[in-house]
Amino acid sequence: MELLIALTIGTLVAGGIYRMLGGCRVDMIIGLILLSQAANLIILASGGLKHNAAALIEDDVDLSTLADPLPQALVLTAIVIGFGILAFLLTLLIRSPK
Amino acid sequence: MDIHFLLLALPLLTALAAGLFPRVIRRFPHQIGGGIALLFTLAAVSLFGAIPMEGELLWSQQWVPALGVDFSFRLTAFTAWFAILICFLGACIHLYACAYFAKNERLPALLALLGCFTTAMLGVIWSDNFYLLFLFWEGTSLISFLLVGFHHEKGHCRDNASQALLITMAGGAALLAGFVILHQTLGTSSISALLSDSPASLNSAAVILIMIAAMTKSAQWPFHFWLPNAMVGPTPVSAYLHSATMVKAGVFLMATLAPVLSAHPCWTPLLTGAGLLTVISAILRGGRATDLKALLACTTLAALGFLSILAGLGTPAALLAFVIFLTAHALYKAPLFLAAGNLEKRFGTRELPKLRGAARHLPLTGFVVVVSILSLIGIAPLPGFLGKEYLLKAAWAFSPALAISVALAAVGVLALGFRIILPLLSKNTEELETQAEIQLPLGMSIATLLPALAALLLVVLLALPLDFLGAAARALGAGEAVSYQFWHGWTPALILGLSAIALAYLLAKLLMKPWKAWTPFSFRLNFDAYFDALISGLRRLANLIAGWLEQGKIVSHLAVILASIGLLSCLSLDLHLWEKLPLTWSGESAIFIGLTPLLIVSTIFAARAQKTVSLLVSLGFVGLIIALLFLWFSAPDLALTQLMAETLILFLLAGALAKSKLSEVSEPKLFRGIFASLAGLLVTALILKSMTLEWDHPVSDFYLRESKPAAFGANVVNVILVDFRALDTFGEIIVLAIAAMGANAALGAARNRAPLPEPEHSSLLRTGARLLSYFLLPTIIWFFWRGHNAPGGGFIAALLAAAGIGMGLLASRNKFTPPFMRRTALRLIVSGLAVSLLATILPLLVSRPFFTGLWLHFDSLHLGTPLIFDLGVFLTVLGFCMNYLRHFHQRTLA
Amino acid sequence: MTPELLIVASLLLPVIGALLSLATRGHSAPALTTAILGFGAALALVGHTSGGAVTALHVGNWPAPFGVVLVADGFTSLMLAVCHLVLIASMIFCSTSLPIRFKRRHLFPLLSTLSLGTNGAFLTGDLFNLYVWFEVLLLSSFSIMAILPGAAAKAATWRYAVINLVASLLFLVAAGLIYGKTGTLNFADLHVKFQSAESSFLIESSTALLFGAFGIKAALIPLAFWLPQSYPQLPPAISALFAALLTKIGLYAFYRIFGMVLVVEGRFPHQEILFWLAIVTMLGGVLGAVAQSDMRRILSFHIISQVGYMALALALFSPLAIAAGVFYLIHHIVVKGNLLLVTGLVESHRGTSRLHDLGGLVRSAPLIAMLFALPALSLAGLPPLSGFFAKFSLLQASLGTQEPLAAIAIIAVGLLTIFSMLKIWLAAFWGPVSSPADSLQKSPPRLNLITSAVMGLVTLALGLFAGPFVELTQTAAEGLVNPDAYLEAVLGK
Repeated sequence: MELLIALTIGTLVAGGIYRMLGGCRVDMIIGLILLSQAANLIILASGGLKHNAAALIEDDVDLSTLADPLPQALVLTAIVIGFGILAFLLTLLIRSPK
Repeated sequence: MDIHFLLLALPLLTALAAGLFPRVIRRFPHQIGGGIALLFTLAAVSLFGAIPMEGELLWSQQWVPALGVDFSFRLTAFTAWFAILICFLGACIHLYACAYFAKNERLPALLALLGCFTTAMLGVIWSDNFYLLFLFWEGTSLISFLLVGFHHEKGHCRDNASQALLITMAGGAALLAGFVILHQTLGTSSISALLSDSPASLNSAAVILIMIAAMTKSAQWPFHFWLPNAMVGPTPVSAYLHSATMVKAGVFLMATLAPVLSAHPCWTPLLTGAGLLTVISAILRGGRATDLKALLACTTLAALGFLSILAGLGTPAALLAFVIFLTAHALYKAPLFLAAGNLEKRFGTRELPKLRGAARHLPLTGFVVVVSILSLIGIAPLPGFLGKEYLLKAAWAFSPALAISVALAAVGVLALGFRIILPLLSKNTEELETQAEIQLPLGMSIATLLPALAALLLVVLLALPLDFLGAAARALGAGEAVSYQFWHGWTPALILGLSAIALAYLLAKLLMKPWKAWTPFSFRLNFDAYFDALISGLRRLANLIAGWLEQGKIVSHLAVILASIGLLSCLSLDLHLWEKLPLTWSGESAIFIGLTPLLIVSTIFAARAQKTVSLLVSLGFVGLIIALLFLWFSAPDLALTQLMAETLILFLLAGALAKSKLSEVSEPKLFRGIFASLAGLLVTALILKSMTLEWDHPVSDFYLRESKPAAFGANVVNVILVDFRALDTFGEIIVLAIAAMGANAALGAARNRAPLPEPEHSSLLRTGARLLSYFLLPTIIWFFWRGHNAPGGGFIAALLAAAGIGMGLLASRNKFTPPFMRRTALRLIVSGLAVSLLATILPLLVSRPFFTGLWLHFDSLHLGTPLIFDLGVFLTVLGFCMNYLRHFHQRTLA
Repeated sequence: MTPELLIVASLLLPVIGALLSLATRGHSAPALTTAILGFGAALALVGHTSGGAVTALHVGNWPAPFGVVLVADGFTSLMLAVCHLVLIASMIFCSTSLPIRFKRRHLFPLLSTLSLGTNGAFLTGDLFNLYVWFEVLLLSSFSIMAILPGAAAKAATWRYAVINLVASLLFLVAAGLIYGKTGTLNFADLHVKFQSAESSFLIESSTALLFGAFGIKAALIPLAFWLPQSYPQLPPAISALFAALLTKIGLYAFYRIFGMVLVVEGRFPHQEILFWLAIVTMLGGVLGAVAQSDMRRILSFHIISQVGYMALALALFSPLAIAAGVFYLIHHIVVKGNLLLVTGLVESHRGTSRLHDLGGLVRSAPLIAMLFALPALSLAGLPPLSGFFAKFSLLQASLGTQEPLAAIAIIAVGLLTIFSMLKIWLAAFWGPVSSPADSLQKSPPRLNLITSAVMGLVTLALGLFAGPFVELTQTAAEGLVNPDAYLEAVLGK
């Protein structure tokens, strides 16, 4: 699992950088989109990956089996911030003809 | 504190007054000049009464004790005597300048600079602290730059002034470094402590750096070339710089430190060598010069060379000779310069061939020139005689060979003196063009006469048993025995001196007629050209580097940045960790195994897509699969958010791409491909490496444990966002608000397009949209409300609402006009931020820390400030989305 | 006011200023008022922390390391105070000298949020929270640049934005990786964890990313490409603020994270690399400045060179060097801000900052000449101005840590700085008055002259009262080198 997820993230990074170095502004934005996806996955992965263990507290749940909620919160914040920044970059894109 | 330390402030006060009351000075220049001169002379006289014949007076005040910088001053017989020279010559210069520039509107500026300069020079000689001395030292460099470049409208004045500044500042930097090393190796930054301790071992770097500093300041070879160039300054400035200040600061430092630093093996050979070379180059340069001021500048260079030789010897006899020579030089060089100024004013030229017999036309100036040149040549009993006598004596005592070479060098210098005096006294005055109308102002004549008279007075004072020069020499460290007298038999020094005069006279007479023949060989080292070459080389290098930093495509800059950082992380990648890799393949489900290749493929498509549609589709796939991965890895909130955000971004991107094209020409693909693959590999390795570590995560345990009992929420991710780490979320909505403002700023806030005509959509769509919006409202509320306990929350609800508004835009453009959207978006953002701000401040009102959750409990229902905060998030995000929809929807839906 | 309340005030005042300014269609008064109040709060914090005391505010009343913590120590307080000073000056210049199209609606709210970002970054004691504040200030700066008209400005904005976003992503990834490895984001907790880690080299690769992120923000060569093109596009009233804040935030992060959090046994990761990059940056920046012929450009390149000095101070990593670096940061924020403001004065006087079109300012505007000379000499490192003590203490530190190469670089770059300042002086201030049409020459707004003079006096005061001020910076540096008080305040141990 680790190898697979690491390879996937690596591909995202490679794709992002390939696109970003394409030379035009749209390329850079798309590159940044891909790179921020990769960043979000890295954060989530670095906290340890668990399946079917969402951090929702119910009365009879064993807390130690739940996924680490902090990376999720960080990624959520990062997604929103990245969303705002990309939206702003798009305005820079549409205002100039080049 | 000795009252005389206050003298330091006196010139500064005159400078201040000159700066504050320029009109008064322009109105009464002569009177002001006389007043300042009187003040300075009085100061000099009172100081003469207070020369400490033994020991030293110290005054110290802490400044920056941590760095060894103190505000401490030291008054000895030598520094007092030097200060008297500075003050007295300062008086003459001020008087002269006021008369010389009486009609120039920039006289106040000149007086202000001269005042500051005098203080700086007094500071150099009186400072007891290394760094205080450095302060004043740099002050003299800087102010002399402003003085030399006084006529800055002329290009060569600017060039020469900056050359002087750069060389002396380079020396200043060396001085600072030398002082710091001395301070650190010896543990003291006080000059008096350094002199009294006489440390056993000296750091070579420090000694050499200090020597270099003193040599640049005193224009010693190979740094000598700036001084003749600095002649472009106004005459009173040159007179001051050459006689008692600026260049004397360098030799002053050499002499002051000589008793200690001459113990170092480099000191004597380097300084005497540099001194001799300076004298020789001065003679060669002077031989070619026909300009009176340039010739005088060369004699200054030579004198500095002799002084440097004396300081280099550092023996008691040499130090005594130093004091006498310094005094004599100051008192003959200042009047000579001032006389040159008089001649220039009167005859309109400084060229010696044109000034034949000029002295006869201006008897007072002529008298001054004769007395001063006689002193320069060393005719008894003028002070210059004594200076030369003791110079040769000290050199002879060190080694007769040195004395003979000094005497030979002196022949050249004395010949320069004859070259000045002989034409001026010539009876043949045909070539002289008298500008008859010009009458020399009284102030100029008096100022020229005063120092010459002082030289004569000095002869009398020296004859009296006052012994202040002896005391000065002793204060320099010359020991108890030294004293001076005019006659002590036919010593080798006297014989050498007399023969030097005779030889010089012959030389001058022989080579008098053809001026050019004085330089049978040209001096090949052209330091000015070297300096210029250095500067232009520096400029070329600078242009190269600036071009690299400034120009170039953004892509190549990005590549450099990424490559540098990649290299840095490669360096820190430790391959031993590979063995610890937990490569578990067990328990992988087909869903996961299937998702990852899909993601890889769609990423590759997204990276290479050249058409808008394929790009949007592949990007959408990437986002969707990542959302599924989030869901798979137990992050439902993330999955929802990712889905929503991705949809909106694609919507905006579609709008942006509607008009702008993807690039036709792109960067070379092979390079990009290799570069990107390497980066991808590196990141893969980094992630694998990070997975080799297993730390426990007590922070998360806390969140899981406390979420329900302390923060009343079952969805821990949401609780972290609105409570545990609400500050992050606060920053996040501010980012969104800024992004909204930025979009308005970039696209122009006032672009209120008229509403488009109602679209020709089928009524089915319109009704459908309306129906959907009725469904949407409860859904939004539901998502918002459940957020604290289940996936959802303010952000997701807001994105849902934004989708509803997008739908509304589709359905009815009359309702959602651009001004409505703009106003509503702004109001939502402001109110959303205000609401969340309120939620953070409320706890402060009940004396709880910032952001603390306040709760009201109704049975199983918990209402608290985190929920208000989440409401603020909802409003801000909604406002943000509306703002962007307003900018993009026309493009997207067009 | 308790120090906790002062921290809250520093953080919330700019938010309130931005909101009020936004609600009043971009009026300057709320932004300026809150900036002045913030300055007061920061000065009070300096007073509180001058003895080495550290105040930690546990946001939301959650104990560290679980909640976000805001910490005010000596270093933070000093940075807050001096940044507010430049903020106020820049706001005054913006309101008096910028054309109306800049000021409409957005500028003052964005200046306030920029200040919020810097305040948050200085105060936070949490790695991810630092990221958030970085984004706040970064997006504010993008948005301010987006106001600028013209193709060159648009291209520069784009470059600035893209390169800085790469830095943000690097920071984000590094923060995630560091959390993954240590299980905490709190500075104090991280520091403690690294001390007990059996092999601290494990963090080297993620700190390499952090190094890259901060290096881009601080504009270390070869990561500084965004700066020389973007800053000269800005009107000086704004570039003064950018120059004062943006690169300094990167440096602050270097000092706080590398100089405190990541220090294990008196060393931090990539210390040698920082040393070499610092020297390259010092030299490259100043040589770049020598090649320019526009005041704005020369001063922009100087920023890079000066960043090198401050990075060098960190790389030397002795208490004296860190104190020198802190002093340098404070000095540089004031002086560089003021130099750009004076460029603004020159521009309002002559309408240009290109050296070819200037000349004779010393005659036509002696006051501006004096206002320029003060910070210029300070930047060049002449006593008794603040720049001298900054360079001098750094020189002492480099010779004290047996790094003669660093000392040589300090001196050589200092001389080159003088050389490039001389270029401005010779071309703009000396020489014949360039434009014969004297009627074109306007006198700058009096308020701007006073503002610049006050900043100049601050430079002078930092030098003349360097004794107590050096003690303040030494306390601040001591807090970084020996963070016991910090740890105790945050973790309560």
